[in-house]
Amino acid sequence: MSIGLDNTSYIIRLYLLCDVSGSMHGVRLIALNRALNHALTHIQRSAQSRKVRVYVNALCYSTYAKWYCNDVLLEQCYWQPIEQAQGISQLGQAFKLLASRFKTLADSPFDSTNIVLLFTDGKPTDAYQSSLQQLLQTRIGQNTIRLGFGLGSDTDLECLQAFQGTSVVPVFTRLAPFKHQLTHSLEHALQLGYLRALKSLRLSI
Amino acid sequence: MNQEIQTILRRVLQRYGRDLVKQPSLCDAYLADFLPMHPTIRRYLVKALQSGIVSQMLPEPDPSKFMDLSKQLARVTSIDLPQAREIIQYWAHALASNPNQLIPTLTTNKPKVLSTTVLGASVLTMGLLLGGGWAFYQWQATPAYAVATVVESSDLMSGAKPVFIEVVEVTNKAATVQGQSTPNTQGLSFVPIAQATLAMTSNTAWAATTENPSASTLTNLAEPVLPNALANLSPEQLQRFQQVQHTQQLNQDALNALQHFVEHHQRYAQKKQSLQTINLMWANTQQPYYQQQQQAMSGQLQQLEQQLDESLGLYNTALQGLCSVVNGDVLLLDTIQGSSLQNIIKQHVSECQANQVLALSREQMIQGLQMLQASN
Repeated sequence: MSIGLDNTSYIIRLYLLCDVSGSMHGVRLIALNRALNHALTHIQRSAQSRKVRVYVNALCYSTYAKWYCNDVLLEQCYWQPIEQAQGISQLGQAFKLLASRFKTLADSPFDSTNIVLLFTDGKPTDAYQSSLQQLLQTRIGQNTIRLGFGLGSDTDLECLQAFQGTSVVPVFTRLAPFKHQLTHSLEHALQLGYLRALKSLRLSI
Repeated sequence: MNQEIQTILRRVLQRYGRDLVKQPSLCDAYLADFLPMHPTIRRYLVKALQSGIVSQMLPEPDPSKFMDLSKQLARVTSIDLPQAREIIQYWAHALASNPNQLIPTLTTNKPKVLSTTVLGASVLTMGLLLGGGWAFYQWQATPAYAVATVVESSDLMSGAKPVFIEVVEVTNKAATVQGQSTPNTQGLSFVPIAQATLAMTSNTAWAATTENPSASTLTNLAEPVLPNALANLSPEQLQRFQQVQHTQQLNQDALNALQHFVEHHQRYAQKKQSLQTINLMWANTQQPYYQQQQQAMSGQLQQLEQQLDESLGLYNTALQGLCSVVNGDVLLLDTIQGSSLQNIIKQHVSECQANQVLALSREQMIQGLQMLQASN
């Protein structure tokens, strides 16, 4: 599989958008923490075997959005559980913050494949659509792999569908199997990202 | 009614505007964030919005429509009427410009069916007529209204069972209680709760003379607005009235503390279960993540234990006050009734004595709650 490129060329950036509003309080947040810990530990092995550098970024949003971790190499990434869920769901804030990051990265000489995962129970309280458009209009935003995960039986699918761009969104009404599903999805997304990265590299060669 | 829900709903409308009522999904989103611990109530609150029942309460909730709205909601959501009434009460409290004015209205039921009242009144009338002709002549001589009313007490107030009341005479000027008169069914009306409370003070009826009661004329328990009536009470009756009010206040304090205790206990039980799972995972995997989770969960459990103790302390204080006031008085004890939680309070009060230092332990309280759950 090696095509004579060094490892730095294979960069995949993983963006985890985590809803930490009041509605995620309790089992949902516990399930999310557990699933992310499980999935990130699991994909470390597969990333190593493929000689891909995966950087993990996490963004938590409720009334405000803020970065939870920034460009942490997957091998060094240990998921610190999010402890609190409170405030209202301002999804638009998260999209804006991510869009600003994508704009900054657009100037970077290193190209990367980007995977954005959104974890929420839906029900945003703001008009997130314009911010989503803003995100999707960035150069990186157009080419990201986007996956939405609904948590809880009363998940509002609208925002997840809009984010993902497809109508099929996995919703986890039972939270117990979530970590396995997330691991599986992340594996799949990484594989896709890896193939994209490979394709773009071949094209550039 | 849960005060936390009541307060939060009102605050949400204050902060994000009453227009939320026209946007059920947005309102649902806010409530999901602010009331994550009460998903069922939230669902019904939103259902009331979606079905257009809440919009019928605009611009200002009209207490006379509450029963109809509750019935509508019960039909739409298939919940039972008391629960539907509670949902309507939450919305009424949130939408009212002055919720304090609503309190007696919200907690007082309408009189029983007219026919029941008329029947009861007729029986009493017959008895009274047979009892003495003097009453008849006196009635002719004094132009006073007298009504036999069946009053159903409120959740807040007291004996939630209907309290039948003897026929009494009430003039517009003074609250003289005399046991003679002929009932006048034209005067049948909604008896304000404070008046019913007053009736209890003398263990007789208090007839309503208000022709068209409205929210503004209804009285607030905390601020009795029957100065004429109060001024004409004997010192013993006044003392009794104050006793009843004090009991109700303490009852409410105890109920609030108990509600908090129940909520904290539920969270405590859930977290304890989670800790067991985490312990198991740690034993099997030895992953540091689970060890961290163990520590975090233990900290949360300790916090919850403190909150449980605080709630219990408040409950014990209120209960001690109740015991001192009630002190074996059956009538006063009967004012503590209604919801299942209030029944627990009543049971505790009936078991204690005045001057007794109460220190119900957490285990005793949990045991009581479990027994209640089992009986339900």
